[in-house]
Amino acid sequence: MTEYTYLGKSLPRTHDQGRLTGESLYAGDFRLPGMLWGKILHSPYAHARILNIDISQAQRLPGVKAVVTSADTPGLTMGRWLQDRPVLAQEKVRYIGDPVAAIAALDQETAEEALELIRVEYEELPAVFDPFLAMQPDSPLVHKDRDSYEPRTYRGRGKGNIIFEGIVRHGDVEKGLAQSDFVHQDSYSTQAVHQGFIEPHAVLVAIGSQGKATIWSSTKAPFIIRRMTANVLKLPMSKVRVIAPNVGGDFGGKGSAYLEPIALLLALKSGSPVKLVLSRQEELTSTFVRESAFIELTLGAKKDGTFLALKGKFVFDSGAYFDLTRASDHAIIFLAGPYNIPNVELRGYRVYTNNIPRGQVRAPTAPHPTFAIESHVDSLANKLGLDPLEVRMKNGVKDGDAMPGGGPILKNVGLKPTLLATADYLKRERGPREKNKGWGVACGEWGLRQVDPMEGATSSAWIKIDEDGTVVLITGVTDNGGGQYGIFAQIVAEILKIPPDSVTVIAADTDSTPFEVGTGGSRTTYRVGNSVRIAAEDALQKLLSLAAEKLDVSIGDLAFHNGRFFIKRNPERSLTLATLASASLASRRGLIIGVGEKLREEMLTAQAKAENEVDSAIYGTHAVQVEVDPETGLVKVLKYFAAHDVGFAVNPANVCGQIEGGVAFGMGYALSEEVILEQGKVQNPNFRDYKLPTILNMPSIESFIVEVPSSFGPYGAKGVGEPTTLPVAPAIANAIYDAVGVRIRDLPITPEKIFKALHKSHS
Amino acid sequence: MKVPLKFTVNGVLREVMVEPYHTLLDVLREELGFTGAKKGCDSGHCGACTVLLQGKAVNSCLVLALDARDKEILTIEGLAQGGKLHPLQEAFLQHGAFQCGYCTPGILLTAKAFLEENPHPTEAEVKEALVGNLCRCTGYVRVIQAILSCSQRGLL
Repeated sequence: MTEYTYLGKSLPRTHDQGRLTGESLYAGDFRLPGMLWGKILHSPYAHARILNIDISQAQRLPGVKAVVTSADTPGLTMGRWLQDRPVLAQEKVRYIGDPVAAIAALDQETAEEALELIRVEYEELPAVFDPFLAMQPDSPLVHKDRDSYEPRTYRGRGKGNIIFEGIVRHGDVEKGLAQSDFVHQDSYSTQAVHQGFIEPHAVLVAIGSQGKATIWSSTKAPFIIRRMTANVLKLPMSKVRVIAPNVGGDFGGKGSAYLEPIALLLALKSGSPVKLVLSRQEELTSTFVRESAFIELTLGAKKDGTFLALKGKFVFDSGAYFDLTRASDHAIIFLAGPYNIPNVELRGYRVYTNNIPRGQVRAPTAPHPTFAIESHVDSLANKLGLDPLEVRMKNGVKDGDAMPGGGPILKNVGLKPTLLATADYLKRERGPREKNKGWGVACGEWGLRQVDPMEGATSSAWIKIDEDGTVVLITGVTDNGGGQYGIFAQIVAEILKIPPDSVTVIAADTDSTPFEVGTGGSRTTYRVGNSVRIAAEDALQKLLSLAAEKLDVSIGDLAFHNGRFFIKRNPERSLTLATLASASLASRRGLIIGVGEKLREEMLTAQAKAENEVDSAIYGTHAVQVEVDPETGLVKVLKYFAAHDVGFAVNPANVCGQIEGGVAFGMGYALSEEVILEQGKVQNPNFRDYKLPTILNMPSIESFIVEVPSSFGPYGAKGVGEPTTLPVAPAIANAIYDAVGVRIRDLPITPEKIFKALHKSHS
Repeated sequence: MKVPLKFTVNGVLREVMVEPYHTLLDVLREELGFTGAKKGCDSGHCGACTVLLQGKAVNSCLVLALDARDKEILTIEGLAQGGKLHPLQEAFLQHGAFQCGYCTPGILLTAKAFLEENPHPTEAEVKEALVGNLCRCTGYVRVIQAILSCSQRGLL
């Protein structure tokens, strides 16, 4: 076990200290002279042709400086992957909330008033809100031009409203089911949820006198925003600069262009800077939420609990627009959970409807299949009279197993230690049965793909050493809350043997920092951490080489510590970082710069390996105790345990913070959050009725960190941000079953549903 | 029509022109540049806009600016004194009680007002006091620990 000075330590987040004092600025906090306020006009219809838009009255309102529609754009579409979305509606609107026009005015009130003066003539079209109906050949078509959208070819493109259909098959599922001693079949449904960040989407756009736009945006992916915005408006990328300041939570929702092109158009047309911020109502009606799902599973097992066969199917309601980075081929894999099942037949369908659009939400496409399979495994275990944790241990994947469908081979699998830790916890905490109280367990898996070649998910980092010896790290990464800058500082500090606090981090500006695909995927430390490590090692080599030259020894004769490089056998002969840095600047060597990139060679090798093996999948197991009030159906979460394999915890307190936050996130999904839709209209577009977990909902949480190192991650690190949310809903559902004998298979598990189920079972 | 408003913010007397329908939140942020109070929902549900009005924690999005006339306001910018962090801020730093930081100013000010009323609370009392502050990142666990640590040390 390597002993590190800074790595593996729970150092406080001094790089983000400004968030405690009000110093840290978020996109909506910036202001510029002459700044205007923007507002968007949203469609009131779920599906309608736009016959005419008359902006003349709105334009005449005193204080209004610009009104834009799609007529002000080149008429292109955009999307993070599937480019199905216009900047402002062209020809038709596809959901209640679809942006149709936008206004820039001297103040917010005038902008709102002007919205009412925009006259849009709509011709209503038949709409479809049910994904099963949308799959029928005679259904209204949400996107008739869908075959022309980029990428034009992708595996699984369906017909009509079916965005994607896919199948994963291995072995002989019918034979496997026939050979099973027990077969359990059931269906599950899950709801749409919002990312729930407390800071709404916000942008400020200013166009300089040379026609270059600067965009301050609450985004986790400034480079993606720049590319998308430039492309959709047919501007050269060099004319668009995107800066991400502090981001008030992302959880997947801020990685795609939305407000930026609209605000840019307003800034161009008005000749003034424009600030555009979404209201909470707009967040909950016209942004990209999680797809809702219908899932069917049929699982066959031997009477000793060994899984033999799984038949599964999901149908995703994907709303009017689709903004994920992949179709859903990987989502099908999640249906099988982290289990070895020799015979599988798994299908998935993703369907357009005229509902609110869908995009990335923490652990995209994973919590719904996880809820299904983890509830299902418990039900089967109950049927067999076996302990649910034992059944998971028996069938859980290990090194050398293939992904479902005979896919890549899994390596460095850390599932078993999380199961064992959970077993230990239960042995310690679970006492004799108490009335209306119960315990449940569940697993979760994430990170089954290595590198996304489509987005060039490499990263880069630069280090410069200033003439006074200050080490500056330059990265394109944003910190949406995860503490990435501190993590990187810890890595630099470990390599250069300087205090992490002393490392300055410059970040997230497309003009001055290197390309970065964006924080997320539970892959930031894993991808960018390596670039940072390489940059620090590169800078160190240059320092050592210069120190050796100046002290007239070889590099092997040198040691260094706390900013001082000295001769091992004669430590009085030494040079400081400052001396070396200034000396370098004054010489032909110039500024000391460390460059960190996943080298081409290394990248290609890793890629090739990635296709055949997965070494950094991340697993977790949770246990939860609940109490159910049979008179009201209210569920109280009493105790919570979460064990997660993270490969290597660079900062254990950060990891625990992700676990605790992930459990809260999952509790909302399990018990209270839902974007409630009726005929395409969101019924609860505010924080009163869209219920995020509060401090009162939280149980005590015990976190357990497992470290099974990965081969590629820095110091063996894997990731943690997303898998922590996955086991929560099924663990709670399983605990409710243990407590009061009802199985709720439809999220969220509200008191009404429990009450009805309890009374149904008694009548 | 704008009318004059005089009030004290972080110990300094301020005078601004405001519309009668402007909220305290909008005036603090837009007229005076105190952007530490955040707009999360503008409807009094998230607590990100919390400031102290005459020492009491209020959702500034629900307070009309004119109702603050001649009163004293403390925003997050006024919590640290003379370049030194307030014990609550120090505790949040040491306990990792913040992540994205957007809800943090509201939580810190709510906690300050609460601990001044109830210097030695139970964990249950801390949770009751903070129920109006939503946080999506932390799961609240370290927030509770940080606040309790301040009360235990009696450092207020």
